[in-house]
Amino acid sequence: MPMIRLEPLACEAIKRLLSEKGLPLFVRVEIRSTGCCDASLGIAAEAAEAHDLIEKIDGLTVAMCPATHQLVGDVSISYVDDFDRKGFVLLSDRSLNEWAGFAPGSIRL
Amino acid sequence: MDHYKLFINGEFVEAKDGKVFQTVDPGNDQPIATVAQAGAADAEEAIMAARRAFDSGVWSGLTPAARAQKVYDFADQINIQALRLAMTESMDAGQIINFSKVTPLGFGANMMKDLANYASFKFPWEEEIKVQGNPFDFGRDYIRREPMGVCVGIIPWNFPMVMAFWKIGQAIIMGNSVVVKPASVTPLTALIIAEASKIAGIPKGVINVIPGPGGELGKVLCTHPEVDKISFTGSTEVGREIMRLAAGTVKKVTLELGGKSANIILDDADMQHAIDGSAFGTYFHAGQVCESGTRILVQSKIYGEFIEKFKKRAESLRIGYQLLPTTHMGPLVSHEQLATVDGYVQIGKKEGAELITGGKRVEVEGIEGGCYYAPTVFAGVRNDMRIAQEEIFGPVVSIIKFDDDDEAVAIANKSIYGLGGGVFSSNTARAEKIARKVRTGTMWINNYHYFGHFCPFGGYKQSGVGRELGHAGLAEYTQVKRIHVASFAHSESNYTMAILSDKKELPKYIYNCPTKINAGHGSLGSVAKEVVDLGGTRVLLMTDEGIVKAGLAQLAQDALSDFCVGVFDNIPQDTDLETVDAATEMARQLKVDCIVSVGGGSVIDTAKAVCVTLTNGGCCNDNISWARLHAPQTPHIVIPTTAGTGSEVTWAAVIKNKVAGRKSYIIESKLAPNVAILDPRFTMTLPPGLTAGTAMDAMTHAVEALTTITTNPISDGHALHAIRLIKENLPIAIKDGQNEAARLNLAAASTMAGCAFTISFVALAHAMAHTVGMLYNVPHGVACGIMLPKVMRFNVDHATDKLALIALQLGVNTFTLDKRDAALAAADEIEKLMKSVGHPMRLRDFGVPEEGLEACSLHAAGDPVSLYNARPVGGPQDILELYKQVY
Repeated sequence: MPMIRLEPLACEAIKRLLSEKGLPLFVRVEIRSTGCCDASLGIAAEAAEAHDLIEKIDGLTVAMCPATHQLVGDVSISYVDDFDRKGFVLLSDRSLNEWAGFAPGSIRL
Repeated sequence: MDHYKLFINGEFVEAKDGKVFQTVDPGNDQPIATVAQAGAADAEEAIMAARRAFDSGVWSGLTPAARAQKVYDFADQINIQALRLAMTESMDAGQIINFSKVTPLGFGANMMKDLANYASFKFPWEEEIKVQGNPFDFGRDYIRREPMGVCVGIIPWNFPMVMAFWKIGQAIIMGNSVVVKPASVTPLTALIIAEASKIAGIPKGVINVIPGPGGELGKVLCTHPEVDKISFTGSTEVGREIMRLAAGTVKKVTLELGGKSANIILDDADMQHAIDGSAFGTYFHAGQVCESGTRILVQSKIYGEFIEKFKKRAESLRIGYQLLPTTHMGPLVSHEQLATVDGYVQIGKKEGAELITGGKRVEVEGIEGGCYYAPTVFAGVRNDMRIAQEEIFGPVVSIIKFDDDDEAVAIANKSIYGLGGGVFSSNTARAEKIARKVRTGTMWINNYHYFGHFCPFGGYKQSGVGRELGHAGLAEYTQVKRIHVASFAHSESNYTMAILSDKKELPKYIYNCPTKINAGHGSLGSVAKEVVDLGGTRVLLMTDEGIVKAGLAQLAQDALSDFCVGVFDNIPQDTDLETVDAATEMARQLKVDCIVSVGGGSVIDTAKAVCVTLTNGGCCNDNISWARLHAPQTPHIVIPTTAGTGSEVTWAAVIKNKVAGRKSYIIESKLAPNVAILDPRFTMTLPPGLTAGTAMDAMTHAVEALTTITTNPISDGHALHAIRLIKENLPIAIKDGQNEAARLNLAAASTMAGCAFTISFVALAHAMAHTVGMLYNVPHGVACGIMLPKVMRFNVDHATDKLALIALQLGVNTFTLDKRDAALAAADEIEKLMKSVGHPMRLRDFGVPEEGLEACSLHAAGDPVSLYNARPVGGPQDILELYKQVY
């Protein structure tokens, strides 16, 4: 099983957003706080760090810190693009918390 | 191991699908209980139980006082369960026992009793609206505040017990039913609270508690059509999604979200106090507090000393198992939270912040496992670093240097959050100045994390929406309903309903002319007694220079004797805002409690405006209002020196606004003077021209009051006799200005006409007179007289009967005339009277240019009084024709 399962729509959305900003096609899965309780998994437009686990998917390099992978397991990334709900939904083998996947997030630039 | 069930409709039940989960002590990673895990079906059942309970009225239908009695019983049960609640909270959430042991009594039972008592005795469930702000119709208006209905409370894991008390307590105290979803990692104390509510006899369905996964339950709770309100405390990302989901059915949403609060240490702070306060502000509950002061801003002068001492203080904190009374800081709530905190510490190091102490996990002696982290301090932090902008929610603080107070405020405000904050300083005034500028929901000065049941809590910006606790928090659990009861339950009497009708006359009227009239030779002698009867002791006499020169002001001053403490005599012919403000200032300085005005319309209007401004504060411009006042104003006695405006009894004051270039009107029933003294000696000095002009003002008031669409029999009586008195006495007064009887009758006529038009209004002649007065300074009374006969003819087919009556009052033998001819004869008689007393007949004699008439007609068409004209005014063209007739 791949460490990162990236849905085609999500892959296209990431590449498009990075290209619009003139950024290289590197992203990193991270744990980030969104205020108060319950951090969430998110994506940042950052290059891989020295000891990161890396996967290349359709021209995009996706990295994740080993400690994060150890905590949450493999990660799937999908993309929603509804009228009033837009962003990336990250789910993992072991949920970070009970709100995992509830709210879509954006790429941290 | 204990097993906890869901609490739905007053019973403890298993989840419908039988799912169960474990909850774990974060201090030693040991499971402490199993809990039924609610799913969508359980959420549905809980919501419907809450809905049935609400709709039945078993709780919502009780009075606030009756609900309070049950809440007191509930609070007593909490007291009984206090130790169990404290221990369970510590084991479930990792809270140190020294805090959790005070929560049930201090923040639970006592909170509910305080707020239930407030809701019983002080919360304004019903409020009369004394001043409606609608001058066109009348009625009784009042507000009722009612419960929202079914409320959902979604609780975070950092203070599960306190949050359960907040969500449950406030909701039910205000008559709602509630469905509470505690955090899955800390579900137990909410269920114990539910148990206490059952024992206390809170009716079934009013409180429901369903622990379960937020993602699944959140969707149901936030979109269910039977849910009226959501109160969420948690992450900003989740809060945003909740708000979006709730928008689909337009639910009320209050959110208490993240924070990155700035704790500002000024150079004059008590250093030890600032150190201890900052440590508490950051490390209380291992930093897992939304409003924690996780950015400490330290003034450069004391920066080095603060870092050194704060490092020692942080290192002195004892980390240990949360149930030990010697422990200062317990574990984080979970290993996931531990990983998040440690992740941010690594980010801080990468960003170049200086790690002063901490930054690592901690093993507690004697404990295997657990989620412990060292108190961590970063110095040399820039405010744009991620560790300064993102909420870490752990025992990690960023210390930022600043030079001056303005910079501190700027740094504090540069955040997407605005939840809490602090200032430590020995100068309260300086600290408060800063506190006012920081855009955040709570600012603590020389303290931190201090809450009170009557103190509202909530955030600015992305820290949330709405408030909890206090009056503001309770009000969030209510709806506002306004109930209006019409004073006249009759469509034909309804001014606004008449818009859809061709019938413009309103059969209703409200007669309110409260002014006492003392009339006769020597009636001036009553003024002092009237002052006494009105409760006055210090009178300001208001007049103008002409009255002073005529010696009339002195007469009044002498009659007032020691009551008169000052004289204001600088009132121009057309009074203005500045004149009123100057007079008000004098009245304030002299501590005046009664006004006596001696003069014509401008003096009286100035005095009226002063009375209102003195009573209500501010300046005159603050008090330009229409149907806003409901209380008596500063007492006002009028001694008119003209017989025309009727201002001694009317509700209006006309004040020029020089900056705006227009006249402003105060129109208030409370503006009517308390007493009018009609002493003929005060009008005897009026020269013939002014006598005629002011009498025609009164005549126009009377005629128009009789012929507007808002006439009534009482005003008609006043107006008709006023017309007769003017017709009979004006020529006498012109011939012999010293004839007291004639002067008194003209004064009486002016007063009666004033009473008449105050109720029945004026119309087109006044609209046209106002305009040429404003644009070309044509004296008001004269302008009215010039317009009057033309407007009477304009109205002949729409006010035939009344005009015929006017003709009779003017001495025309109408018995041999048909009604229309009699009506026209009234206009003829007015013109005859005007010519006989030398009244001007043409606008051109006052310098009004012919080319200006078109603009005048536009202005006059826009004057609101033209709406009351007997014959509807088609447009400016109608008015232009009339202006041309008098040009």
